[in-house]
Amino acid sequence: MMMKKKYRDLIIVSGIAVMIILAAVYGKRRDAETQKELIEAFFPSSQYHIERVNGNKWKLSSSNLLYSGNIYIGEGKGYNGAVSIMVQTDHQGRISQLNIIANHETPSYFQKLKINNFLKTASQVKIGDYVSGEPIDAVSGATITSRAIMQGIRNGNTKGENIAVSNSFHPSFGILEFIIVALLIAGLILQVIKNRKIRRTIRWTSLIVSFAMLGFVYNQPITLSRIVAILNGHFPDIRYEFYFYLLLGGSIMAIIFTKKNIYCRSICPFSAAQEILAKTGRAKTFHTKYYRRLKYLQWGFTLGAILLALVLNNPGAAQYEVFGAFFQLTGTVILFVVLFIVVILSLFIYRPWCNFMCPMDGVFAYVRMIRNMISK
Amino acid sequence: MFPNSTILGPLFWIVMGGLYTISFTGFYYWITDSIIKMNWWKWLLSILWFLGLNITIAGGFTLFGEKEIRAGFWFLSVFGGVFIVLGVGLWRLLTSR
Amino acid sequence: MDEDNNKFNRRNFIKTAGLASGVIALAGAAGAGLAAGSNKDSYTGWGRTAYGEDQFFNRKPFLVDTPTYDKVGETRRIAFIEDLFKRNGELSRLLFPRGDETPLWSFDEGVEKLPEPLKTYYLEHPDALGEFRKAIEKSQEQAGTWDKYKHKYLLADAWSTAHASPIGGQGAFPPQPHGNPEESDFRGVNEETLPLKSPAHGSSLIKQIAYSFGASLVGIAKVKEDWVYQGYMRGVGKIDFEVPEHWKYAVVIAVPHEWDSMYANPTYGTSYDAYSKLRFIAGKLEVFLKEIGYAARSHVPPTSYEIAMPPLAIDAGLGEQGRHGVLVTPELGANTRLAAVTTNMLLEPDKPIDIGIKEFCSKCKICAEECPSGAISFTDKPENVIRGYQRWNINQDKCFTIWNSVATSHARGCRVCLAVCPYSRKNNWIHKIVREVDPRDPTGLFSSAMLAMQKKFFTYPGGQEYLPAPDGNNKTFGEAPDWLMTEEWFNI
Repeated sequence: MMMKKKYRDLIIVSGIAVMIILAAVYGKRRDAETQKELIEAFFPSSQYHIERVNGNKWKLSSSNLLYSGNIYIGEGKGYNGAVSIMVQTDHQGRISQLNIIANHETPSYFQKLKINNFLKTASQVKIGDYVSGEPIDAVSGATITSRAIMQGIRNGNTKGENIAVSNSFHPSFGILEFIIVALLIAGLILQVIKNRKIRRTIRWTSLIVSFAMLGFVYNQPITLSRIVAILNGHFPDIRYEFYFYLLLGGSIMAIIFTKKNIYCRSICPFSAAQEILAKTGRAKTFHTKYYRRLKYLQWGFTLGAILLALVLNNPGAAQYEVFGAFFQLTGTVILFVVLFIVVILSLFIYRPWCNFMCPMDGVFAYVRMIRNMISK
Repeated sequence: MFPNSTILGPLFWIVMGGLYTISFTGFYYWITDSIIKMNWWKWLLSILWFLGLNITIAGGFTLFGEKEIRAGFWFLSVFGGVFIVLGVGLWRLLTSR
Repeated sequence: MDEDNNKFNRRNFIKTAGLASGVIALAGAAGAGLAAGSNKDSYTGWGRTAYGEDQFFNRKPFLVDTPTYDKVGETRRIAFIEDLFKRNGELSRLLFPRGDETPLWSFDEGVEKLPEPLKTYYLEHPDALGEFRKAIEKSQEQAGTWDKYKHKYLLADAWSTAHASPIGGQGAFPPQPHGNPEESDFRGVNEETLPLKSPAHGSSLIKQIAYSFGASLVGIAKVKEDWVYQGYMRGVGKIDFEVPEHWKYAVVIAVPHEWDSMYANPTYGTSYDAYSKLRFIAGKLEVFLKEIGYAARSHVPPTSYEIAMPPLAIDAGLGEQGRHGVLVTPELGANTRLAAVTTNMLLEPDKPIDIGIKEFCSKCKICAEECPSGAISFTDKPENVIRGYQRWNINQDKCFTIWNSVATSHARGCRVCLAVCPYSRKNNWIHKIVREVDPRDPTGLFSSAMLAMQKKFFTYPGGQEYLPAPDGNNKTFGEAPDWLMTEEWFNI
């Protein structure tokens, strides 16, 4: 019997791994368009003449010879993957056009608007100003994407002109990182303390801190699209997103060493939101004999979303969480309808999102399965 | 409210006043007949909740009237959601002993 | 027993009726809200009363001694060439002479060949000349594509032209001054002047008269030298002049555009509706002042000024300057158009107000985001020093290029920044709350919350979308009123 379960687990774990690898390979199979095609989409060859200088720089002149300038193409690290930026400048380095030519960012309406405006602001600065750093502020709500845009401009310019830049590694340790470490420690302490009163105080303190800070102030939970991006080989920029490595790494370590999923218990801001709603409505745990089957459905759905996003090579497609909708009012109409239902249900049922819908549950369950398998 | 009439507007608000009085009286009878024990802050919270709900609905529909349909739906769903949650919370508070 | 039963039934009845009434009352609240939102009476201004009822915002708590613009250096008067229309007019006379004369200058000759003061100006502003060239190109394009849109916007264009008709040419009202101001401003003045009871009486009377002529807001300011143009005087021509002695006070008048068409900018709105109203009000006020024995000169849009209006209106306590350079008033928001009458009548000036526009504008930036030309600055704080005053700069030339790009019959403006400004709102309860609470909140949290709602809940098409194809889709911020939509009345 024991043997049988072990083999079953092995089949499930490796089966899922194989599916993910196959999907990722399939998604990457399509070659990106050539740079020339990308540029010609903006500067049709009937009106413009383009000439390649190197992998990042092209010379541009209009057919009537009234205009000439340079085009730089560079990449920055976005939320869900690389963001390719095309910058058109005149010979004085003034930016006349700034376009995102390829990206995997989640297409939320507001984010799109913010980024369009950011592009306008970003093009009011000379290209040379990006070499030494970030001449303009990132927009809140699209911080990572706006940083990626600036990084892309810098990248295209410095590589295109062979400008040397020091790329030193300075992980920033700010308030967000501090909060995450504190929450991780609190989560671990909860596993050892037996006194109910102290447990309750610690748990509620971390839930409220997470709700306010991780939720409303920073809005930085672990999202499925992030996981997919990593599976796709895109790791977030550690200089700006050290917190993410802390959060994900810490949560996985906790599972490996304590077998407990502390992220979902006391760190996730939306779980905090549901706890608060449950307290408000004195929600009850939803008992059903189909619990196990519903769980498989939840996990299966997650796996499906991951595979779909990998096949489409678009991590944003996997995002069906309602964090953004709840904390920042961003997302599609369907997400808002789901959120509305979840919020009302949370008043009467204990943590309906975590128990029956959240994709992170499946991800952590998979990690725990691997851990259990190895430890045996 | 009624642009072409000088009398219907005041009448409307008289009727509204009557409706609020009846609903309050009904709620008062309903509470005194039930096992719920009320005190001043429970009354205050209940009245504030109902007032807030009225303002939320009026606000959303004002935006509809301004042809800001999208904004109206947003206003109603965000603040309406908040008031439903507060309503359930208030209900639990009233019925707790 | 029977009585008890009755009592019990009555009680039960009221309990049920109470629930029903609660639901009906909610429906009533919805109905009242709907009515408040759609009520056309909630539009401020547009000459609704002759008693100044449109100036309903109580300015008293917000009066300050120094105006909210920041003086940071040596100030100077505005050279007439710094005015876009004067500058473009001068250039156009060189480029497109009347009859069969040959052009006096062409772009190929370069800046160096331009006569003064254009040469100096364009040497200092190298981008402006290129932008003007672009505007001319766009204008030809606009004339070409108008054929495609002339049916769709027939009513809007006809409405605009009708409003513009009393503005130009010989029959314009008020008539252009001729001769020195010492002569022209005193022409026809009643020789007998009765002793005025007090300057305060004078101010009250003149405001009431201006209201009765249709002004929505009226304020009075001392004429400040910095706001007076230099180098050009109507009725005289290009001369340098000192500010005339008798331009002591300015009565500043504000009216809004018709609201529905204003929200439907750039294609359905017009500037001329407000302009022609202002010309009638200011022109009549000029005549009135002369009739009671005082020198008077009206300064009216679009170009008949010797004084820059927005800073004068700030001095007069009507409002404050916004990021978009337009005066923002508590009643009308950015939908404020200005005219003034200068006079030597002894008046009591109003105090300027501070309702926190600058703090709001540094957070908001909606106008900069929506501006199709990118003429509005994105910087958090006003960073440009212009003639000694720190403010957000407006790139006039870029703005003008867009006038020549939108789907109108000719360059007759854009005004998207007026429409999208969160201050340009109706006078109903929901906006009244914001209007009154925001300037009283010292923390700025209220306005931040309102702004977040504004940005999340409302639809903004976004800069380029206001342009015709291929750059945009002729979007308007608000829906056009049916009476300006040709397809509602004609088969097209």
